[in-house]
Amino acid sequence: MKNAFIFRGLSLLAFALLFQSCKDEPEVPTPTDTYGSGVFVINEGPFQNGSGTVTFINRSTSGVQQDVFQQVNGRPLGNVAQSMASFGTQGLLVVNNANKVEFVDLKDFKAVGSVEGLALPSKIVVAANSGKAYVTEWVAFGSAGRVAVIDIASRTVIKSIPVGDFPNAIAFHNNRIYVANSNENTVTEISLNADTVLRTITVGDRPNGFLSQGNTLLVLCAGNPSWTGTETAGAIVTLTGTQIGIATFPAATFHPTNFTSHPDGSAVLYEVNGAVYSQAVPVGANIVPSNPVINRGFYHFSLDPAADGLLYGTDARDFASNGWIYRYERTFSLKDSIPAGIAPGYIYYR
Amino acid sequence: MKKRSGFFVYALCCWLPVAAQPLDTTVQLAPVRVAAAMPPVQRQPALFTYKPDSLLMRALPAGSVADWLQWQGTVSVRSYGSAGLATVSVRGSGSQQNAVLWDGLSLLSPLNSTPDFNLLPLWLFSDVQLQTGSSSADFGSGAVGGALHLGQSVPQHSSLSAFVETRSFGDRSTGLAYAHRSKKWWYSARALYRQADNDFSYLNTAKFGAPEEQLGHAATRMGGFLQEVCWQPHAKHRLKLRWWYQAYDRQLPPSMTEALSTANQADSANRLFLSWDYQGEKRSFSFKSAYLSELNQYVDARINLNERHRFKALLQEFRLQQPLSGNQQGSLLVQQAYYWATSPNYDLGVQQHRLALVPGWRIQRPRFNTQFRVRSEWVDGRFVPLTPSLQHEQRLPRGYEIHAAVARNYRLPTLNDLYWRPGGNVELQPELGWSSEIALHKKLQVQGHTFALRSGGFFTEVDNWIIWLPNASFGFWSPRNLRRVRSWGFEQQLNWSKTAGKMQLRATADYAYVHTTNQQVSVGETAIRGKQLIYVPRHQLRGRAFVQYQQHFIGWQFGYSGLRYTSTDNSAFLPGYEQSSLLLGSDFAFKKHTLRFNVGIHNLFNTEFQAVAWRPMPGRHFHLNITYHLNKL
Repeated sequence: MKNAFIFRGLSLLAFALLFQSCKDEPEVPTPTDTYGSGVFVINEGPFQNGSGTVTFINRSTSGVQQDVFQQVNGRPLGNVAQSMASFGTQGLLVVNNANKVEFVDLKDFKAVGSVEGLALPSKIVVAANSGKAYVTEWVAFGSAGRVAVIDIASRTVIKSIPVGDFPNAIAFHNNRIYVANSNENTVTEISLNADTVLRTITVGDRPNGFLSQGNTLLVLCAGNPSWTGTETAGAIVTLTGTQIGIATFPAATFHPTNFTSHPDGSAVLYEVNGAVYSQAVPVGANIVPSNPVINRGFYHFSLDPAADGLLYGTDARDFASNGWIYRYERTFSLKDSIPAGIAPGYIYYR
Repeated sequence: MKKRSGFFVYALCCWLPVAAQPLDTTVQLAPVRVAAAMPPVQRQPALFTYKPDSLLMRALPAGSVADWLQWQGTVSVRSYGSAGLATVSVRGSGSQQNAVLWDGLSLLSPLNSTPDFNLLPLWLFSDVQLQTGSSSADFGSGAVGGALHLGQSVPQHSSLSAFVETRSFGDRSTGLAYAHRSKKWWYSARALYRQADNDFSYLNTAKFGAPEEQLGHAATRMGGFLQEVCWQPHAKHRLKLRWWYQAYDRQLPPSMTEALSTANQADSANRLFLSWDYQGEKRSFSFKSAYLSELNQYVDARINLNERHRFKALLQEFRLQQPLSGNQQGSLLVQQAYYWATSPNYDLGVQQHRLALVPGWRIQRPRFNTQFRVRSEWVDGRFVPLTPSLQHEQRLPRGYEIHAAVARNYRLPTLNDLYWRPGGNVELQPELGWSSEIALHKKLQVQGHTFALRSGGFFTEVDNWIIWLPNASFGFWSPRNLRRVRSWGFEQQLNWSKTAGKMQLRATADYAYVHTTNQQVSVGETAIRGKQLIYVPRHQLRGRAFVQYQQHFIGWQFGYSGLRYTSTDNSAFLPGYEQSSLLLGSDFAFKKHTLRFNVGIHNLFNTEFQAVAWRPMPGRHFHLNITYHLNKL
């Protein structure tokens, strides 16, 4: 586990040094502020007639602050909060139906600007020290989506990159951006330097999550659900350079989600059929879920990548009342539970 | 004097709960109780009924049922704004738990059973009435909270009316009503056209600095007509044919927390109705048949959506009332409904057949009236549990009347609940419950003042409440019978009127306290147990006062809706709000011709409020209409 983190850290450092040597990059201030470090739970909020919220959890004190954005700024975040990223002292909050990315100062969570006019933005990733944020845009259901490249300093969209249908997951891996086209069976690979599509990779049906493991990128694919009429099994696809490996689940009724790292680094975790399972990596040809590590399902489930970080699972209840966050020890025993806002659908760790 | 003092003590007791509310100063408004004018063969005697005030109807000819209910009765209207959906909650009911009936036949869509009260224009009907309380035995699925009755009254003579109206925010409408009456025939036609921009300004408190913004993408356009031809060859027989067509196009505006909206909704409905009524000296019966064809099209270019949801229905009803012995009367109601529905969210077209038998018994004496009915219904051959209903009216000494009822009620799962892809659940059971209510009624005349007070309480419990929840294993939402909801409260109506020379004064107040909570919830939902249902205000108050002097009137209306929770665990809420409007009108008559002028100032105090979270509502605005009426052509 530690080795994995060290390796990843060294990789990032190497890239950072590489870019630092090539051109002038924006300076990344060290966060030392109130919201500089902690766990941000992004609550979607009531569908249609409500606003998303942010629940902030202080790791060291376990102190919880609800609805931070509204409390600080005196206005709601907007309709359907989706995801978050950060760069330096700025937090970037993606709000889907409001078609915007809100920028907040992590010193006090005050709004400092926004990028408006996006088309149903969903997930975001900040590419190391590039000063750029990549935001997936659904644009319209049933047609091609795109990725907005945002220059964080100027808070402007500097490029739009066409991708596939319903881009709903994004990752930064090996100096490239990967986008899961979640209504297709493809992943789009984007060059970080040129912001152009390098290739479109065929994976399993409905990719919905990524995990970077050294030089390998793992892609979790949910498979087609039954209502599509052509139900297919989920899969974990291994991308290593140009090599592609596919491991499928045992039956078409297995539609995995919530892809995250295993605390010991030797495996990955996923959720399927209402339970969380562990899968050793490298993944073999077939996946056989057995002996769940947590015998329940979550709306969102992920591992806090901080040292000794906990596992966080969210429960959205009826999507019209406040949800809950369940924290698990790295041994998968339940530690505690924390109230969240309505429909906690994403967690950003910093 | 003793009787009077008893009445006033009773009245005071009834209003004490109101006085405990912060709006006690407004309670002194008084009401006008409007008696039901429907044929008794159609209705159960309702404990509380509301009919549009004649002056309100005159002032707002282009209004919808939702517009009316915002000012009268104790119904909670969940309005998404002038251009949007408007559903109602009656006694804490869900939006799918109220019946809408056209001359007794249900107009509820089998797809979602959610009537939009903005799509029901008052102008097309001469007889509109809302009754609160459960009436499933008579009206079938969905009549849990209340029932809205739409109908046509018989024209007394030939006449012609036409109006034009202009309102703020580009709202223009015009209507025509014509009636021809002869001894054996009559024909009536009503038509309405309305369009509005709805581009009012509001403070967007969801944005930094709460900037003033103009509502966009909120234009509406509607047109419709309703024609009726009736042949009465004999005093005992009547044959009626009606045709109601309506089309409604509207842009669906964004909420304050959304950036924009490109959604549009188009609804059209074709409704044909045929009936034969026989009214003998003792026995009476009627045959009714209706064909409904409705289309709902939802288009949103932004999300590449263009969906057409359509249903057709063939409804048939036979109703018989037969004297038994003495003061007893038997009745039989047979209803049959065939539904055909298509939707892109169904795998195939869906059909449903419902058959119901409702035998009834009634005994009527000078001092009491008791009715019992029991409904047996089969849906696609599956038996729905029996829904009995027992009602009793009793005249008491000193002019008091007491009404009491106990009934079982039910709501069938909608076709969306059953067949929606993905998530539809064909194993769903109907929502089932019991309701009981009791009300006391008293009329009193004191030195030229006429008072009428009606005060009652109700208790309803609905089990197997259908709720859509996400299915974590499969990634989509699915409905399940999970909750039990209990609703109790009380309603009050107080009416006052007085005639002083050429001046008529009257005032009405309606108040309701509604306590509606989840009693049984699914595992993990303990946070919502015992909590008030969302968008169901505990307190509702409506009041209005009119002064009429010869051909002129001035009226003031007031409405208050209490705090409404917006999250099921009651952690978020919208504050209560009040609004007022001022109406003025004058008639100028010359022989058979009458010209009416009406003006209105709405949201008089420019109150900022939201009926649904983050849906802006217009501030102060105005209307002017002119109506020409030609009487006795």
